[in-house]
Amino acid sequence: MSKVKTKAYGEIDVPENSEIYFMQEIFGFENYRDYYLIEMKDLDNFYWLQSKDEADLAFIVVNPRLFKPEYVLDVDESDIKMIDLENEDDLVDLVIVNVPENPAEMTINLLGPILINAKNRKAIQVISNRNDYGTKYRVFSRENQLQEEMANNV
Amino acid sequence: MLVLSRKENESIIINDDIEIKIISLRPDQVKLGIVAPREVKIYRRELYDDIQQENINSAKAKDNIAGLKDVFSKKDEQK
Repeated sequence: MSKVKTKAYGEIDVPENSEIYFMQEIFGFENYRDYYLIEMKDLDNFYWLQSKDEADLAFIVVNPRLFKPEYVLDVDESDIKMIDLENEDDLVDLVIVNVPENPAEMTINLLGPILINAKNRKAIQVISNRNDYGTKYRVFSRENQLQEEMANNV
Repeated sequence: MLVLSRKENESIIINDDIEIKIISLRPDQVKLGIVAPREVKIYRRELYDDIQQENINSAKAKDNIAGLKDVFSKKDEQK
């Protein structure tokens, strides 16, 4: 176990094997390469991608298929090479979640998935070749949201 | 910034192994052909900017996590 200062939980112990190294920076976050992938407490299937060096830097990530079952990972072979993937079974692909002020409007970024090689824990953020995938895929459709608002007003 | 004038079918070479060729010219659009080694990253600027901006926005989320949990517990109740 190693002690890590986190944005969400303060200082906690995390397993050594949750450490992840980015072969190139997450876009916009130069100088940060080392992260931990930490399971979110109380919220199944969600993870924190927590910077090792900066407690305040953390992303929420999730398997895109949780919200878009037909999601297809379509990225360049050269991107896959960056994380030295030998066996496709070792590939974990996640997307970054954006939780706005109203969490019901939460979106996931299908255009810029994060690939992790589970074996050597090398990671990279890539740009999807699927042009119809945007950066703001709405998780809860408007229809769902209207139902919810109605339910709350009763 | 280096500015060069090129005509259709002319090209420039960068660093010995990257070639950028003007395939076709129209009043509002230019088509580029790029030959580069596999490991060279080539992005459309706006996609790159989009993802970068979305990363920055996403990293700001913090206080809304509790709200997120509420949303999910409500969804579960509805099931």
